[in-house]
Amino acid sequence: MKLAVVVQRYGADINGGAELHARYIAERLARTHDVEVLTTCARDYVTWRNELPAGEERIGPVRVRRFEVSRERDPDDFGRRSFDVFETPHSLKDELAWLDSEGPTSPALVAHIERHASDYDYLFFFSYRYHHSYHGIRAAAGKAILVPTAERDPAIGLGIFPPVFRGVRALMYNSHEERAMIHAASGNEMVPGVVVGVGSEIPPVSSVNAARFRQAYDIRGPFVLYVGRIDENKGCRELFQFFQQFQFTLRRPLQLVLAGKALLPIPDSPMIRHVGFISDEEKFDALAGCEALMMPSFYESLSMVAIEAWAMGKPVLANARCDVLQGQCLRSNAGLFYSDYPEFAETLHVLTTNRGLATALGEHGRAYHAANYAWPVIEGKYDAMLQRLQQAGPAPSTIEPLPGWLSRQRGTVPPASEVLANLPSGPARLASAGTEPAPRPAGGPPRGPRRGSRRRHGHRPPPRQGR
Amino acid sequence: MSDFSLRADSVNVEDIMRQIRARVKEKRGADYTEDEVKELASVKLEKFLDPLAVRSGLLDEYRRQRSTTSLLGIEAPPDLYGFDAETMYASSRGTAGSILRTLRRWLNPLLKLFINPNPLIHVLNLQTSLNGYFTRSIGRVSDHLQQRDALNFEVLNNVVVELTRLSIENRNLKMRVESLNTRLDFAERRGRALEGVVQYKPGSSPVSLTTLEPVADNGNPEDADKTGRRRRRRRGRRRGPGGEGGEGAEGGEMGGGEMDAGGASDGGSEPSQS
Repeated sequence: MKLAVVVQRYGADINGGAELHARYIAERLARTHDVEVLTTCARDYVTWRNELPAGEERIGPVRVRRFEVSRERDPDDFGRRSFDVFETPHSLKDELAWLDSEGPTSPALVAHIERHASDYDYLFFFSYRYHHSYHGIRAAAGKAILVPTAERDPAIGLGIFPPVFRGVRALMYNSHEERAMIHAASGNEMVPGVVVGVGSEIPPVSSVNAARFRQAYDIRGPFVLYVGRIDENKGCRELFQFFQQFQFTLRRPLQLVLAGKALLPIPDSPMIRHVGFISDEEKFDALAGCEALMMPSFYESLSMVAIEAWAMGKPVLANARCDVLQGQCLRSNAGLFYSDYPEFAETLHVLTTNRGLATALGEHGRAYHAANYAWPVIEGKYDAMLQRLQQAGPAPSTIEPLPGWLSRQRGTVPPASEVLANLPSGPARLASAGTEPAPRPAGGPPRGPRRGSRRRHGHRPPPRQGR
Repeated sequence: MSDFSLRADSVNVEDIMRQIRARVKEKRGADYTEDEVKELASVKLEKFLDPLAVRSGLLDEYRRQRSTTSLLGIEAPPDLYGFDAETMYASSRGTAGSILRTLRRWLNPLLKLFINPNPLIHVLNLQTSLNGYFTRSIGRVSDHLQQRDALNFEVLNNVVVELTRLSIENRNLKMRVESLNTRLDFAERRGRALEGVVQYKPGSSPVSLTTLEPVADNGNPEDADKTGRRRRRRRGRRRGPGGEGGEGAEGGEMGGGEMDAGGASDGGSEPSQS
């Protein structure tokens, strides 16, 4: 089959979550299909400045076609428009203006999709919230497969997106929570969808060496690890507070090792070590040596590093206020979670002192990874979906047209944050049959259905206004 | 917390989290959810708040007062009638009415020979406008009062809930302070007891186990006894004539804990002075 992967940025050195996800999927699909990546010339997701040359190039096994972004993002304008559509009643026109402001606005990319949609069997669009996905899907709805990478942020409550979720041929979800949220927001249950996520290149055990990492960064004694952007939205500020408080209760030293770019001042403590950006090899060495992986993030659509930790047989300590992470921990039986300091202290204490429990959780993690996130499983789900769509035959473009000019001017659309607040939350604990078999012990309690609608009280940082 | 009985195939995160939460609850003394705190605030107010300062049925009373003083209970005003220069000559009898109105208009000059109806029309017109004005004003004031009432209620409710929460927290903190005092006291006593049983190698200078400073070894049991007596005397003097019953049990215990700590350090350094 001839497939296209449409994503906002693409490159070997671009490590954003959705972009990395798109690259992994494109490279894997390229083994059995003819894959072309359609993307922009941008490298920076804040400005969308054209930094890479337009035209064709080859990155690994895939051909990449880049298109120029017509205008850079103005952060002030985007902030103002985000406030308008997220916090106040507004019109569809305002939402479309917000989308233009968010970018990456590339008319050339959308025009290419419109002209050449018939050349491809299917087009995979990554990240529902961006300009290229919205307009690209409208240009090729009959062949569009969406990988939404949706998080629980107000953008999901905007009125322009439900027709997109209902109009694509299929959706590849990252988690059960994401699927439930999109179902509730758009009522797209009839659209074929599967919870897939993404795999990762896990090195063989023989090539992983924890001592190498310890030696390289002079780390002695037990440590817990955080890998990712060190940012307030990732829950790092709270992690620092909790960890420093936890230090007072410790009888033996425990270090917190942070790997990643720091956008937040790191506390000046001998027990908190920042090692900066590390290579994949070092990351797996660090995972092999740590007691547990810390995942303090409030918003995740899928935590790849948590899956990598499970693949390495390490338990995860996650923030319970992130539905996806909590759901993953419950379904995998391989991680604990906390919602406040006392729970943080108890769970971290348990993970770092009860060797038997940590090992058992790690084993569950390994099994969970093998059952759900090993590459053969992921590839199998993608192939199954493509076959299913092919058997169903070509579908006409069924996406609902935009309302008329007058309707678009009416300021009757509710604030997106209000819509988001009314969506059900909490971990989706029941894995649908055939989509994600969780390695449950035989004697465990039965898993109930998804928890009912539950409103959260405070604690989370204010919702993001776009990436 | 490392007392989980484990088999790899029997690990269940839900159970573990349940145990961890139970453990947290046990440590906190009490763990109340938002709903529980609200329930406590409305039901068991007198148990947590000072009954002299805040009435336990305050919220209920406030609700009752709101319902009696609300303008919502007053019966609705009658419909406002419209009045203009034509109203006095109008008739509601259909076609006959219109003939009657025309007749009245024709006879109007005759009527004006006897009375002048214009001031009457003017006054009634003015009265209609005044009625409308007052109805609107009362409506506005009523709305305003209702909004303010809602705000007052919210503030009062939040104050009561917060007060209850703080009261519970205060009680828990008091318990923790007591527990810490007891533990500190125990640790001090244990330290002193250990100091008493340590046997030093001949020729080495003894070290205080509480301060880890070298102390002179007199080796005379009578001296140790004297030191103990002196320490007890000093502790007695510090507590003063009021003794432990000075400011209630809690104050006494806290004071006792602090003095024990001071006494211990004195005990460690005194032999070298004597």
